[in-house]
Parts: sequence; C-alpha cells; structure tokens
Amino acid sequence: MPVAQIVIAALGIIAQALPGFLASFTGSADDAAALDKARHAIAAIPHHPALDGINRWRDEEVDEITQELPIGPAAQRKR
Amino acid sequence: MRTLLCPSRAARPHVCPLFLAFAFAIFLAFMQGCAGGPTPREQSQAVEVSARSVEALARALTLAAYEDARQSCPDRLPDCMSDVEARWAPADASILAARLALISWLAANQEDAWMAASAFAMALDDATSVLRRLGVTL
Repeated sequence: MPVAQIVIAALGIIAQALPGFLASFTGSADDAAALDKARHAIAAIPHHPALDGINRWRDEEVDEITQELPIGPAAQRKR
Repeated sequence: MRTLLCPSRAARPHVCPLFLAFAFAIFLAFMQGCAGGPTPREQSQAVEVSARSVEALARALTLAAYEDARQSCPDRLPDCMSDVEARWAPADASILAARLALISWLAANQEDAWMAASAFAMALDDATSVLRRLGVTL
C-alpha cells in the first residue's frame, strides 16, 4: 500500500514536470523565431539617435538653401 | 504523534509518501536551479522587450536633441552646432552601451544570462540618468 502511494505521488509530480520537459525538445522552432524577433528589435535601435536629431535640423537648412539657390535639385525640379 | 506531513507515521513506521513527494519536489526544484537561468525563448523575449524600451528611449532622445539644436542654434552656425553635438555625445554613447549590453545578453548562455541581464539593467539605468541630466522628459 505505501509503495502504491509513493508511485502515485511520483507520477503526479512527473506529470506536472513532463510538459515543460518535452517542450525543451519540441520548442526549437519557437526558440529560433523568438531569437529572430529579438535580433530585429536590437537592429531597430538607432546607433546615434541624438546625432540623428541634430543632423535633422542641419539638413533642414540644406533643403532651404537648395530651394533658394538657382542650382541644385530643388531648382532643377522647378524648371 | 500525528503530523500534517505524515499523519500515520506514529501508527505505522513506514516511509511517508507525502514526505517522499515533498523531497522529490525539492529535488526537482534543485535540478531546475542547477540548470540555471531562463529558457532560450524566455531570454529572447526578455531581450526583445528590453530592446523596444531602448528604441523608445532613443526616439525620445532624437526629438530632444533636434529641439535643442533648433532652439540653441537658430542660425545653424557650425560652432554652435558642434557645441550641441558635444553636449549630446554622452547620450549617444549611453544608448550604444545599452545596445551592446543587449547583444551580449542575447548571446549569453543560460548560466550567464542573469549576469548579462544585470549588466543591461545597469547600462539602461546609466542611459536614463544621462538623458535626465540633459533634460529629456522620460
């Protein structure tokens, strides 16, 4: 009788642990997809965000100058 | 004497199954602890979410630097723009450090995952401190 109780208790615990154990073998595709998403998320982080903002202000000046000058892409578009 | 764990121990001196089950559960927990760290999927998901946070931080940084350059240098004089760039350089360096910490975290094995996560947390804390010092609203 005690042996049966031990076996039942052990089986109960194994039944709880089994899905996670099996998932470690079958979840490799999900692991690869999660890794890919993480890589994409890291790649989306700008390298120099502050400099990008400063350069955006600087580039707006360039656009204004090319629009005013009789040369350059903006002037050519007007012609 | 009856106990909750082993009610019949005094009556019948056998090995209590509940006690064995409890010991087995501790053993399983111990083995999980020995395996150490999160699963690869959990680690990737944590890195992804953290990377999105850093990206949001970087976007706020871009806007703040743009506004600073626009207000500080309305004439866009080169010397003035250089000063603004120098002022914001530490912020770019801190974001870069956080990005590198994320790459290390993603590449870390299970044993080193917690250490890599901790390194990223410190890098992120450093980045937010730098941004706050520069007046970026977070």
